[in-house]
Amino acid sequence: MKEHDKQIETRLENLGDLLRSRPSVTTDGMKKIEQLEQGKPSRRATLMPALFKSGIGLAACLLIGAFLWFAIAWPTSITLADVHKSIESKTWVLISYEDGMKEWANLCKRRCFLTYNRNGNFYVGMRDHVNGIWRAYHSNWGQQIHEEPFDVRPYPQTPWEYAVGDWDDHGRSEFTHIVVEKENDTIDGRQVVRFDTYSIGPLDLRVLTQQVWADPQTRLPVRIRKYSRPDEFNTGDFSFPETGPSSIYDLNAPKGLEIVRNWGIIEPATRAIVDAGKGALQKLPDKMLIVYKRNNRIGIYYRIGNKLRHETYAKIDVKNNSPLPIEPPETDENLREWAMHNLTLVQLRVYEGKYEYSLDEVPWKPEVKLSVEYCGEDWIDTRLPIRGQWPYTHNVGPMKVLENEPGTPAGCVLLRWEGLGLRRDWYVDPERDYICVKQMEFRKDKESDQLIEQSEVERIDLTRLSSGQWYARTIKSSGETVAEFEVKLLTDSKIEQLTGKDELEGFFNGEKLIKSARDKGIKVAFWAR
Amino acid sequence: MNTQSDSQLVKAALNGDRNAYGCLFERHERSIQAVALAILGDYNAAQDAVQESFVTAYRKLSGLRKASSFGPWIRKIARHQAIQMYRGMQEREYAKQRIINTNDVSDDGRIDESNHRLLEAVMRLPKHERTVIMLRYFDGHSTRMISEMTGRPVGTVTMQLSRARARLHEWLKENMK
Repeated sequence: MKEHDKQIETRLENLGDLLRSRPSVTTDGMKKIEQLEQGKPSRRATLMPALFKSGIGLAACLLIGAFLWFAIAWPTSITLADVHKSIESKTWVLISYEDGMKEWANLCKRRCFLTYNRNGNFYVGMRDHVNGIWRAYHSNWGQQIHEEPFDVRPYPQTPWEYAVGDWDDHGRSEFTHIVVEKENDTIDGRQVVRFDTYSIGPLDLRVLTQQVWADPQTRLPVRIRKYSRPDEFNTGDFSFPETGPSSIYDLNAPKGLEIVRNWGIIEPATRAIVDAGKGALQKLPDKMLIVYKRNNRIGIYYRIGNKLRHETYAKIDVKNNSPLPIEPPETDENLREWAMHNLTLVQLRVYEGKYEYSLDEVPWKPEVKLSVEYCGEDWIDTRLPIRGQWPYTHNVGPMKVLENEPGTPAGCVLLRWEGLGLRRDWYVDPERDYICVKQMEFRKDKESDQLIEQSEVERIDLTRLSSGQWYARTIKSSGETVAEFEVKLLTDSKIEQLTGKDELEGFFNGEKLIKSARDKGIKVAFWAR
Repeated sequence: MNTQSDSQLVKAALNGDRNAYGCLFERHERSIQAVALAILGDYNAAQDAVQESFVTAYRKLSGLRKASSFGPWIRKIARHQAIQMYRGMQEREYAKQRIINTNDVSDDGRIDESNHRLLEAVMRLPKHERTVIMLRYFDGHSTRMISEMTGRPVGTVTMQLSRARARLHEWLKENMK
């Protein structure tokens, strides 16, 4: 076999190993198929007409119906609050979810454990709600266990909240209100009561967020289904064991690992850089216009305070459902106007402080939809495109500051993270708002044990805004320009002009977007988080 | 390993034998995943696509005209599913604007560029070569087994594998220029 043939063979084999190392989806698929089969109509329904054909059958049916009405369908007095209260006499509550996740809660000691095995990653964590300590192991964090203090939430802290993981209730109380509806249901032939909890969003949009099944006799919960999206949920069954884990090691966290505190930033020098990077993000002006060009698309962001409007324009090849090359003008002065006249608005997102409204108008999707999602109040940072200038601030795992490393750009410091056969280097420029001007990722080759470069990203053309902050105008990946930015400060008069002109359509006003969408017959979907 | 042919397993599955369908799926899972991964470039999304294809194929199994064509048929379903998902992902990506994703550790699931290029190249191979490459390297079958599965002589399979590798080498070399 020739050398190049061997090389290709090795690469194919490695790729095959990679594919085989992923967890199989057969088990989950089989579960879905079982559900499909359960959904088939049962034969019982076809027997009913036969019974009605005879007089005896009719009388019997009436009697049985009356009995069922009183015995089963008669609304029981049980409430969701009763179910919540019912677990208070228990020491341990265990919820075992269909995706393998397990939630343990020791109600006496107010200590909760969570384990899951997802996408090949194993996590086990413990929260001690008396002492405010979180300790966890994640297979992606390297050979260490993290420990963090957290602020114990003031009362009320109910056993139910501990048991179902609702102690961290960001957002739940922010909805206009929550509605609970009660239904009779069966689980494995057993009569139960089901409570459907709906969150009510703007303009009375409602979404199912949680379902709880309970035994009407004992009032204990039997099953819980938590929705992350209208069509995405995880279902768990309750049990009440006598004993449970005393530490994360009882739930298979590897023993003998170092316990690292403060999210793995173990050196004060590293902490100082990370804090400075986060600070620079926070100090970005709150009235900005950001224009970017990337992959034949033009994106325009308007940020005013904690509101954000994001328009994406492209030239769409309807036949092939793909964006066509565009030739925007050299200067960015009137890029928005140019885009509005020459391109198609394919997406509009408005984040108005709590909710994000997304209107997708892509030609290949016949059904235009306005999605409304509750995002909370700190969402804006995650949506600003130039936040990527400080990638090291959201790295997980201990980083080190290295000085005088060869290849470090003048005036920069090197932050390095290593673990799991990976190495990440961030070259940070302290003189220019701690922007990461270059980042590299290396992966260890299994055979040679050598680190091989996987990616290199550079942020160049650093420019200063009149308010003093720096930003990178050009992003390069492996030497090629992948994105270009232009940031401008917005004056009050410009804002007035923009919002005044477009306010009817709801420039920053989600409710107006909903009304306008409904008037046009566009479907509106509300997603709670 | 189950030694029944695809044809036999499809017939058993149609008669209600769910284990037979599980065997069928396990047999083709990796190559289906490769199809989805080449389009989506993201392991997690590819797995979702695989699972959806798995369920869709089960629903439509009775419509499969030639039981022995289960492999190509389900790969076609997976390809369709992945394209649908890719469109959805593209739209979501507009919003995320994650210009740089290398800093996101956790469960990102993205396949690295070099492997993605290789996968894309595999998907561009002529059908007969693509099939043997996927069966050999992704599903891990021996040349003899591939010969039995495809009905081609062992020598033909070996030759097709060799030609496919040469083609991949040429394409990837050009890509690197």
